[in-house]
Amino acid sequence: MTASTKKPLISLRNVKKSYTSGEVTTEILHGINLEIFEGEITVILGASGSGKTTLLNIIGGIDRPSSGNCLFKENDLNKFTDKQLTNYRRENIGFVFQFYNLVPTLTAIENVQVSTELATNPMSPLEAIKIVSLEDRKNNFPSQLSGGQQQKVSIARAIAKNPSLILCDEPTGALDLETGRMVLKILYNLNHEHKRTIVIITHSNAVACMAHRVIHIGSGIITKNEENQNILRPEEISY
Amino acid sequence: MSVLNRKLIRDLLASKAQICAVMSIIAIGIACMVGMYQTYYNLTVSQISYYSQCRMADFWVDIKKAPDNIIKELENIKGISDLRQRILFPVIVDIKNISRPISGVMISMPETQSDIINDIVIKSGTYFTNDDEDEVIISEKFSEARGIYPGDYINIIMNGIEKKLFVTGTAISSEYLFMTPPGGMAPDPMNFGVFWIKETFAEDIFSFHGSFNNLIGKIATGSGYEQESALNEIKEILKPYGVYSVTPLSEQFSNMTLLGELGGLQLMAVAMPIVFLGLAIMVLNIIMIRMAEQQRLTIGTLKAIGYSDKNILMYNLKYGFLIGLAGGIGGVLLGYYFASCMTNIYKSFFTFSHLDNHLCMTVYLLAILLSVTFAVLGAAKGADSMIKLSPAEAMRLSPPQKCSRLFIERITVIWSRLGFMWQHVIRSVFRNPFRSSVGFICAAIGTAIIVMSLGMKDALDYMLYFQYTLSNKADYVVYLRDEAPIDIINDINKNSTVSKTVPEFIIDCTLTHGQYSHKAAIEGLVPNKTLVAPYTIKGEKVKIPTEGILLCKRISEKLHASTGDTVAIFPVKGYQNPIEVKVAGVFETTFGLPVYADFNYLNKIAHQESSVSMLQIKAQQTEAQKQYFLKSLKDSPLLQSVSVVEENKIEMENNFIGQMKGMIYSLIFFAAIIFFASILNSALISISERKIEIATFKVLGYHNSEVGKLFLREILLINIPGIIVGLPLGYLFLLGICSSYKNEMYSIPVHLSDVTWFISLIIAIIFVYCAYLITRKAIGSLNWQDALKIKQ
Ligand SMILES: Nc1ncnc2c1ncn2[C@@H]1O[C@H](COP(=O)(O)OP(=O)(O)OP(=O)(O)O)[C@@H](O)[C@H]1O
Ligand SMILES: [Mg+2]
Repeated sequence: MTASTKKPLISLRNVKKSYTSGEVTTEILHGINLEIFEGEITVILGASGSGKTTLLNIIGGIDRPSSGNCLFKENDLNKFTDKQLTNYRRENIGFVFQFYNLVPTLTAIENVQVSTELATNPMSPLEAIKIVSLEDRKNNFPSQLSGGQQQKVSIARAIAKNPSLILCDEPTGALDLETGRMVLKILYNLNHEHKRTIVIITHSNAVACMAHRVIHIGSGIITKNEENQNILRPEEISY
Repeated sequence: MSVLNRKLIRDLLASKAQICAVMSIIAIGIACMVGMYQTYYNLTVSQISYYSQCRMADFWVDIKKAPDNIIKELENIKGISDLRQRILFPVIVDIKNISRPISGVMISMPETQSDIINDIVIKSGTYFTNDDEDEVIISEKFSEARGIYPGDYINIIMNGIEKKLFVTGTAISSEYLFMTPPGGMAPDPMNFGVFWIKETFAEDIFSFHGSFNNLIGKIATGSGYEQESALNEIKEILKPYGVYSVTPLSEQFSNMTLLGELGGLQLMAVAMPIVFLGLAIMVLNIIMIRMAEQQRLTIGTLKAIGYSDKNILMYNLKYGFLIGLAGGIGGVLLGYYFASCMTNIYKSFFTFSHLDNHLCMTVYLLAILLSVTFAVLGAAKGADSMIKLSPAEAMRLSPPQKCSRLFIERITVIWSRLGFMWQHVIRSVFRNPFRSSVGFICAAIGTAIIVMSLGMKDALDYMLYFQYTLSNKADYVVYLRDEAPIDIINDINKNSTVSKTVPEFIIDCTLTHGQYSHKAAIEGLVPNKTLVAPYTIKGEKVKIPTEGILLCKRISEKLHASTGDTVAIFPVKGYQNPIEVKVAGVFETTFGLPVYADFNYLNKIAHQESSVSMLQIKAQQTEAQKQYFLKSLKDSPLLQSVSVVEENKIEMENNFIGQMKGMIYSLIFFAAIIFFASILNSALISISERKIEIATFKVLGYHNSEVGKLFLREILLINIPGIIVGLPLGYLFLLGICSSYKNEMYSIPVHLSDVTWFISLIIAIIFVYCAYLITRKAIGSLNWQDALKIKQ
C-alpha cells in the first residue's frame, strides 16, 4: 500500500496561526501542510513551545486557524459555524489531554459517561473502562486516583464515543516510564485491534517508534515528515 | 439521571453555605410578598363577605332630626336603592364599681331581625325578644372586655336618663370593624361599646317619635348614577332638618382605616420583594462568576469534548432554577407563617365576622415563578463568561490576572505608609470591583432596614409624645352633650383637686371656598391658656389669631384656600346662615383635620356668649380622688363623653407599640440575614480563591487569627462605608414608609432620635463582627495543606 492510495482523514493546507496581545501579533504556526491518514498512528514531535498543542487544537476543532485550511474528509473546518464545529468535536474527535482534565466532582465512570451521553454510537462506559482496565477503580473520584489512572480515565473518555480520530496531547508527559508505557500500550492496541486513527503529540523520540508516521515540528514549521518503516510495539520501545 | 445533572447536584452541595445565603435572601423577599399579600387577601375576603353579610351601607347621613315621612321622597332619588333611618346617639355606660363613665354609641334596630342595611351579626345570645321594651344587644368585644354577657343587666345613661337594660345578645357589625373611643386613636374595647336597642324604645327615650337623626343607604350598583349627585340631592332635601354630615363609604372611619392598612400592605408586598430579590440576583451573580472562574478548565474540557454553549447555558440555568425554586418554596412557607401571624394581629385590631388565613395558590405560584425567574436571571448573567470562554483558551492554564496598579497606589505618599497588610487588603477589594460593590450595597441596605425599623418605633413614640405630652397637658377631656354657659367651669373647679379647667367652643360646620367644601369642626381655643395646645408637625406652638380661622394644611389644600382668602362657614346646628371668615393662617399638623379660632371670636361670629362645648381639665388627684371625680362627671346630665388621657395613652402604647415590636424584630432579623449572607458569601469566595495565599501565610507561620485579620480588614473596608451610606438611606426608606401611610386623618412624623442612629450603627457593626467570626471559623477549618499540593 503506497501513500498515494491512502485516504487522508485530515489535511492541513498552509495553516497559519497568530495571536494578538495588545498591539503585538505573533505568528505561532507559519504555514503548515500535512495529512493524517485513516487507521494510522501519527506522532507529532517538537520542542516545548514549538506550536504542537496549537496545531492539535486546530485539528480537533477547538481552535480556528488564522489562515489556510483544515480539511476533514474534504470538509473545510474553516467554513463550519461554531455549532457545526461543536458537532464535529462531538461526533468525530476524542481528546486525551496532557493533564487529564477530568471533572473533579464526577467518578471515573461518570467522567466517561460525560462523553458517551453526547455520542450517537458510543460503547458502554464500562466497556471503555475495561479497555483501560480500570474496572476496580470505576467509582473513584479523580482525587482518589493516581496520575496514570487518571490518564487512563481520560483515554477511556476519549475512546468511549467511538470517534474517528483520537487526539492525544502528551499523554505520557506527566507519567513515569512504566505507567507511560502502559498508556502507550492501550493506544497501540486501539490502533491495531480497533483500527482507530490516532494522533499523539510528544517531545519524546521513543514514542515515535510505534507510529506509522512521524512529523517533526520546530518553531511553527514542519521540519520533517516521514513514514516509520520499522514500527515497534510499546513493550519493545526503549527510552 | 444524566452525569451533568449529577455534577450539578454535587456542585450545589459543595457550595451549600453560599447557596443557603442566596436562598435565604430570596426566601425573605418571597416571604414578605406572600405574607403581605396573603394578609391583604385575608382582610379583603373577610371585608367583602362581612360587608355583604351585614349589607354594609354606601353612605351615612347625620341629621339633627328629620321626620320619617321624608324617606318616601328620598327613596325616589335616582340611584338610591335602599334606605334606612335610624336613631343614633352617644351614650354613657355606668358600670358598678367602675367610677369612670364609659363611652358608647346607641343605635336603633328593628324589633325583629330582618334583611336591613347595616345589619348586625349575633355572636352569642339572641336578637331582641318580644318580652320587654328595654332590651339591648351589646358589641362583642365590649362584652368580653367587661365580662357582661347575655342575661346580665347593664346601666346606660341615655339622653341624661339612666336605664337598666337587659342584655339579650352580643353582636358585631361591619360599620364598626374598627372602633375607637372618642379622643382615642387605638381600639379600646374596655372603654367603648356599641349598643343596639329596639326602634320604639329609642323613639321613647330620645323623644324621636316618627323621626330619625341618622340615615344610611345603598347606591344601586351598575345603575350608572353618580353617587355624588345622589348624595347632593339627599343633602338638599334634608337641609331644612339640619344635615350635620354626609359620609360616603370611602370616608367612613372604620372602612377608611381598613383601606389605609390594605394600602400599606400592598406597598410592602411589592417593595420588599424587589429589594430582596434585587440583592439575591447580585449575590447569585457573584457566585456564578466565581463558579465560572473555578470551573474554567472543566468547562473548557466539556466544550472540547463536544458540549455546546446551549448545554453549558442550560447547566447554569438549572443551577439558578434549583436555587430559585428552593428559595421560593422556603419563602412561600415562611410567608404563610407571616400571614398567619399578621392576620392574628389584625384580629385584635379589627372585628370581622370571620378572619381566616386563606391559601393563595396563585400567589404562591407567582411567587415561586418570580423567585425562579430572578434566580435564573442571576445565573444566566453569570453564565455569560462561561459561554464566552473558548475551549482553547480555557485549557491554557491560568486565567489572565489583571494587575494594573490602583489609583491609590500612585499616590505614593499615602500608599507607602499604609503598611503591607492594608496594601494587600485594599488591592483585593479594588481588584474585585463588582463583588466589593455588592458587599457595599448589601451593607447599605441592611443598615437602612435597621434604621427604618427603629425609626418606625421612633415615629410612633414621637406621635405619642406629640399627642399626649407636647400638645395635650390635660388629664381629662370632657365633651358636653350641648353647649353650656361658661359658668360650668366654676362647677368643675369646685372640686378642689382640679387645678385648671379650660373651655373650648366647637362649631361643627361645612367650610366652603368657591366650588370646594369640607366638613370640619372649628375649635375655639382660649389663647395661652389651653391645656390641649395645637402644635405644628415640627413641634412649634401654633399661635391662635384674635380674628379669623387657622386651617390645617390638608384642609387648606382641599379648599384651595390660603392665608388671606375668605371662606364661608355653614354651621350644622341652628344658625343656618353662612358666616364669612378670613383664613388667618395655615399650619401643618400630624393628626386629624383641625381648624382653630379664638374662643371669643368664634362665639361672637356664632352669636353666642361664651358658650362651651368641651372642657380640658387638669387635676392633681390620688386614685380615690380620681374615682370620685369621674363618678361625679358620670352623674352630670351634661356629659357626652370623657376621655381619660392617661388611659388613652396606655391603650395606644399597648396596642400599637406592642404590635409594632414584632414587625421591628422581624425587620432587624431580615437585615441580619442580608449582612450574614453577603459577608459570608464574599468571604467564602475569597477563601476559596486565595487558598494558596492562605496556605502560604500559614507556612510562613501566621496564626489563624492573623490571617483572619486580613479578612476582617477587607470586610470592614467594604462594610463600614456601606453602613455609613445605609444610615441616610434608611432615613429615606422611613420617609417612604411614612408617606405611604399618610392619609386624610394623619401623617406620621419622621423623627429619628440621635440614639437611634447610634443604635443602628452598633447593631450593624455587631452583625458585621458576627459574620466575621464565622468567616474566621471557616479559615480555621480550611484544609490548607491540600492547597499546596494543587498543580498549576
Ligand atoms: N492564546 C495565546 N496567546 C498568546 N500566545 C499563545 C497563545 N497560545 C499559545 N501561545 C504561544 O504559542 C506558542 C506555542 O504554544 P503551544 O502550546 O502550541 O506549544 P507546545 O508545542 O504545545 O508546547 P509544550 O510542549 O510546552 O506544550 C507558545 O510560545 C505560546 O506562548
Ligand atoms: Mg502543549
